[in-house]
Amino acid sequence: MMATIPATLARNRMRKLPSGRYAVVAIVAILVLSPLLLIAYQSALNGPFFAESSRLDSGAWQYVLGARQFWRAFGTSAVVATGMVGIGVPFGAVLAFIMVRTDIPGRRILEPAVLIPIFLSPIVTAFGYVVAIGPVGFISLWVKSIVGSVPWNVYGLPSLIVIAALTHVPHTYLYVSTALRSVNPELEEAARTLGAPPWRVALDISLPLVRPALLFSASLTFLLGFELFGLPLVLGDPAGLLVLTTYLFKLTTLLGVPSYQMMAVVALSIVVVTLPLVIIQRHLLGQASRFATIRGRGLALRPLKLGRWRWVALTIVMAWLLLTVAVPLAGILLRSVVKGWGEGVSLSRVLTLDHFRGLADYPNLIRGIVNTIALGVIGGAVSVACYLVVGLTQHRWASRGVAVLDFMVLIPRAIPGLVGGLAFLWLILFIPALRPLRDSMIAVWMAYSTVWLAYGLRLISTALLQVGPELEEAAQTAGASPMRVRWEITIPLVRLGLIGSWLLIFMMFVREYSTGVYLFGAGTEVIGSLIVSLWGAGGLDLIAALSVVSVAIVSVALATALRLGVRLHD
Amino acid sequence: MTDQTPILTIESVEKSFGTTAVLQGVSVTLHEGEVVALLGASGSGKTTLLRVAGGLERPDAGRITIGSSVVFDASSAVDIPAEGRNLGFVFQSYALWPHMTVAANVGYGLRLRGASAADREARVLAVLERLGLGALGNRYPHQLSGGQQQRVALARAVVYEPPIVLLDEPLSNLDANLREEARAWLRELIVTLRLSALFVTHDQVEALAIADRVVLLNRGIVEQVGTPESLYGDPKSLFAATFLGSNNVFLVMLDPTSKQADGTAMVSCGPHRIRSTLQSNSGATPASTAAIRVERVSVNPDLNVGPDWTSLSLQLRTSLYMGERWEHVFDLNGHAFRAWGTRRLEPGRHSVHLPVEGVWVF
Repeated sequence: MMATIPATLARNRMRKLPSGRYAVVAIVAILVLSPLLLIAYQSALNGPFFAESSRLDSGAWQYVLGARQFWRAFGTSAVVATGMVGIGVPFGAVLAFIMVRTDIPGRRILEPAVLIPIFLSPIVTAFGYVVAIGPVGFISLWVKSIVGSVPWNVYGLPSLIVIAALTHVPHTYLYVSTALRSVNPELEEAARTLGAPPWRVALDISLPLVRPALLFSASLTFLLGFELFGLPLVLGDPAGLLVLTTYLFKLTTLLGVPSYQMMAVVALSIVVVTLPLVIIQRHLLGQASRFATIRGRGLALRPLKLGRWRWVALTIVMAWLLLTVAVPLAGILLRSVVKGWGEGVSLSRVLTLDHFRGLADYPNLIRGIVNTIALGVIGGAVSVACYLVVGLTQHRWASRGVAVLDFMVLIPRAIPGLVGGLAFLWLILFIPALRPLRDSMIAVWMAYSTVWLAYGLRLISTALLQVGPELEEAAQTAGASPMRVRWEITIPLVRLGLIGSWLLIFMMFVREYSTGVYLFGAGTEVIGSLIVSLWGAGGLDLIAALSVVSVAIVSVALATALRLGVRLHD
Repeated sequence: MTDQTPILTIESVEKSFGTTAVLQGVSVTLHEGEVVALLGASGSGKTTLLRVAGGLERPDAGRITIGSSVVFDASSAVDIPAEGRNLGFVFQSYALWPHMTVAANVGYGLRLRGASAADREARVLAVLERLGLGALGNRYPHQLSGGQQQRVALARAVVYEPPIVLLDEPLSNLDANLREEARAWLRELIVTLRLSALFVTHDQVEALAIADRVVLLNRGIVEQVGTPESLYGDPKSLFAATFLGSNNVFLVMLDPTSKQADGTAMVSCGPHRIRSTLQSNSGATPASTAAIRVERVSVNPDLNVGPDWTSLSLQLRTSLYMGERWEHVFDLNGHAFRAWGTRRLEPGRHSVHLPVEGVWVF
């Protein structure tokens, strides 16, 4: 006898998801492609895209590609990016090996500590370096009082490269350490049983095995080098040094008139470099997963004994942390509580909390702080919800749509925040329906969410991948529709991952600065963009106070994340 | 030929992971030219013991000596790391480096020992030839079959002629049919290369077939050590008896007055009285457990049953055809009692014969 299928079950079975999924793919495509296409379109005009008189014209391209300053900025970007790869990647790889595979003392404290630079706003860090080791910085003057002169110059190409390299070490560390953890420990043990000392295990086995991760880190670091904005703005500009992003930022000043088509050309020329890098990275990531070897039987690997070298290793790691975290943070902290600083000034006489009180005198600064927090908390939550929708669209979907989505998600990674913000500003001007969004936080939020789409989606899909397919299939075979499976099984199972993603997105939104630069207007200030504009006006006291507030907000989020056991990376 | 010089001595080694005691005072000796198997179920500590010997795991207590040098001593804080012990170690997963060719994998130990390129090449080729891998030097591990990978792993561990080779479940990753071939091959190779080998296995057939001596581990304790024949034919504990082979295990009452000087005694199982052999430490209490290997139970009606046999008349429950034999299941006092035979049996009662030296009481 055949049992009749209840009507609701039969209907459920019929109701599949594709139409909804394709709609998500379409929305993501529009969000991602329209800014890029608008920039491309603008670059081929002879005037602003919204002006009636604008015509197709290659003049902007000819002008920019013929400008010596453009090529100098391009060259500087290339040199900085190359230098960052040359210094940052080897150091990050060594750091990863030390942290993952050796008995370095204090590893449990060091592990989260080495990730701190990722969560610090580069503009804050840059400012911290200026007040710590700038010409009249605290450390500079202290050293000068001992040796008679300051043996370094924080402004200029060499220091920009070194500082950019050191602050980007965690990116290499993240990818290489994750790869190292997935290497079957038996592969390393095998070398040790054959008589290889720790450094040979690292050089002959571990690092070659994570070569895809090393290549990936190198291309990522190079990409980030091209997208660098805060550091060159603060450390390069005073020395007359422009990179592509700061060149774009300064273009209006340099030309004397706002020139949409020139900005578009410069913006697009950055994307021309970064987009291929992102595509290469995707390819490398595919390779990396093929390279991954099965883990051992979950036996804790006995760490390589460094003997007395462990103190050397600890010194190296601590020196790096001191230089990349402690020096700039101490700089802004100290600067935020002193009236002024110079040779022969005694600390006790200049101590003050006036700068923090001063924040209250400027409604825009207070609004900026409130906006930043709201953008992180509310905007971050909405962004995570959006990323979750996209993530669920990809989740267990065998379709060409996934490949399209995969590619779409890559594009924002190739767009520096500055360019992304600019593109969104133009979009709002271009599309009449969006015009009311001008000067609203929604516009800022849209730009932020798009710029961080790839990052957020990675967090979400990492969480989704941990849901065993049989848990979903069990619900499906019990008669739940695909929608219900997602709502009642998948999402509750990834709850913790979502909270973690929210915290991480919150931190990213708080530290973000360049995306807001062009979208920033009366009422839509955020801390990052305020610092950028105050830097132009020389408001050091307020910058210091704002920086401390920004660091404090991120610290609270970071502490919460650590407390909740959120994985700071995937 | 087995020499009686100890080459690896593990003394009273203890090791805990958190609150779980994995090794609780284990001592094992490996003599020169000897093959010793560490046999045990999962969780018996056998792999941990091997890793402790190899320096990959640090024991909490005990002493380990290789040749004449102490490589670990908890009391004097000696702990030579893995790279300093000059051992050959074959991993269960083979642990072949995917980024190196077969020749580079095998030659790595020689490179670490500063061998010249020419010398290295010659020795790598020799060992690959010896293992039937001569033409595969330029391949990468993923281009090899499981059996070939296993031999490369062995080649890598023996090419620099270490005094001892440690093997972790060397055959477990092979297909079942390949494994039977590999048993003979591995035994032959270890003997002809005059290796001293300690290997871990959970497969009793593998242990009995390959090893000169078997160390049976049970929850971190050495249950019994002996030649494969003595372990199989004269188990000293119920655990050792039932870990190997197919057995009938049943509860009996021992008649203390029936103990003979030759170690035999009468036990009763319900209405049945059975002549049996007391194994060590047995007979302390009348309620005991008896075990007999299934292959020692005879249902042959033509068997010439002497005085050393017990014949029981048992009801046949069912018969299973296994291909090369029949398995008959009888009822012994309410419990299943198995016997193997060459013929189908009719339903009803049958005579089942048990040799006295085959019925062990613990």
